[in-house]
Amino acid sequence: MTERRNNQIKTALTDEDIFELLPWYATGKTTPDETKTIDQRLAGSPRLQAELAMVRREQQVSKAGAAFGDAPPELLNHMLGQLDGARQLPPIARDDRDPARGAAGGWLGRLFGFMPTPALRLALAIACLVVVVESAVLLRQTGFGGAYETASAPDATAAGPQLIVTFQPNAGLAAAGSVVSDLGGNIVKGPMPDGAYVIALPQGADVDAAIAKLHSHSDLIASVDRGS
Amino acid sequence: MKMAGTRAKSGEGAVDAALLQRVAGGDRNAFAELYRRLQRPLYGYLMKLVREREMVEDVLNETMMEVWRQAARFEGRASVNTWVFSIAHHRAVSRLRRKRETALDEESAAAIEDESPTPDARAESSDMNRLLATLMEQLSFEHREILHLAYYQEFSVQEIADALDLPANTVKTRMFYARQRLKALLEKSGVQGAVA
Repeated sequence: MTERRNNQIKTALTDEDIFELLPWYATGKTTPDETKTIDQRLAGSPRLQAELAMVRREQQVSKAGAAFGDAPPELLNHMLGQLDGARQLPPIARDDRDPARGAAGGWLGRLFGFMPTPALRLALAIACLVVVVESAVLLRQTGFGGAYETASAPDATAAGPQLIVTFQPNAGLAAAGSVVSDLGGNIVKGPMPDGAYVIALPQGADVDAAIAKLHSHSDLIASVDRGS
Repeated sequence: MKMAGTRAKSGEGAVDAALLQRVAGGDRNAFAELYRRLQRPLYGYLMKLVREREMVEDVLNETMMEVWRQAARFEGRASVNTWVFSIAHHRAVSRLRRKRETALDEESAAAIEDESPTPDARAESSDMNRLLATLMEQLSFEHREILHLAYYQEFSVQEIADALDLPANTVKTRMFYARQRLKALLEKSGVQGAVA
């Protein structure tokens, strides 16, 4: 049985798979099955042996080049001095912890529960929200029987000043959405490759006040920048 | 000080988790102890990515203050170590974006290459490791980060996926392309046969 399983892994791993795994093989981070397969393939492949030698050299250089030692000792005292003023957040209530899985959000769980991480679930949920908002804006502009217009016609993105916001990795959908809607804003774009979203504020909104308000939700908002 | 990647293997992950639980209860001594255990790998990671010592210290400070604030919200889906690196990653990205310093992208890397010694001069150098180290610094933020996490911190594919909030396959692909880019730079520097 074990032999059969090993054979399956051996045939499952292509040369390209092994090339991709070599950095982790070199640091002992491949699974026992992967390690065994790579050992076998290495024995008969000068090309893989040369590649492994290159990986080991890269690792050696990386280790030598990243030995920065300790952080400055005074940094700890500086941090300890800030602790009293830093409010500790309470544990997230079970229903808010993960909107895609909470009992109250059962239908959301069925919709988004297949996404592997909370951040991806949040991204998918926000993407859906953007589609709904844009659809609503289009319908409002054209009516159900209106003339054809593209989604890039004047829409929510032109409503007012824009902010680029990154949410905390564990930010829940409901809480993140309520912070944005409290500002009267809409998420009009995102997530971008770095995980950021573009929020459009209402026309004439006080941008500095909006930024300050977002910064005050440090449990939900990781960063805020002015957009275009 | 053991490196981060060896923590789980040596059972230090359980110690980190116990310390974090105490931090969640407002225990300052536990915070200090957790910091002492994590500061060296975190400092090395941030120095590699952010490069400016002053900004690195700011980001390290922000990261640990976030650990203090969010300790009670740690759910144990990944190790404490990976969770803290995840916070550090997001803080570093945010800081760099705020300063509009997108680290060394491919364009600026090319500019540096132009200032490098000629291939002939490099061919005279027998110090391949030094050349590799120089070229690694010319990689993009994402590529430097993945090489550092895999090689220096010795994170597994899954640990990197957890820290960077990426699918495991993307981690492997990103590593592959980082190494391909490094090989291309080596070839450009006159090292023959670098690209497999």
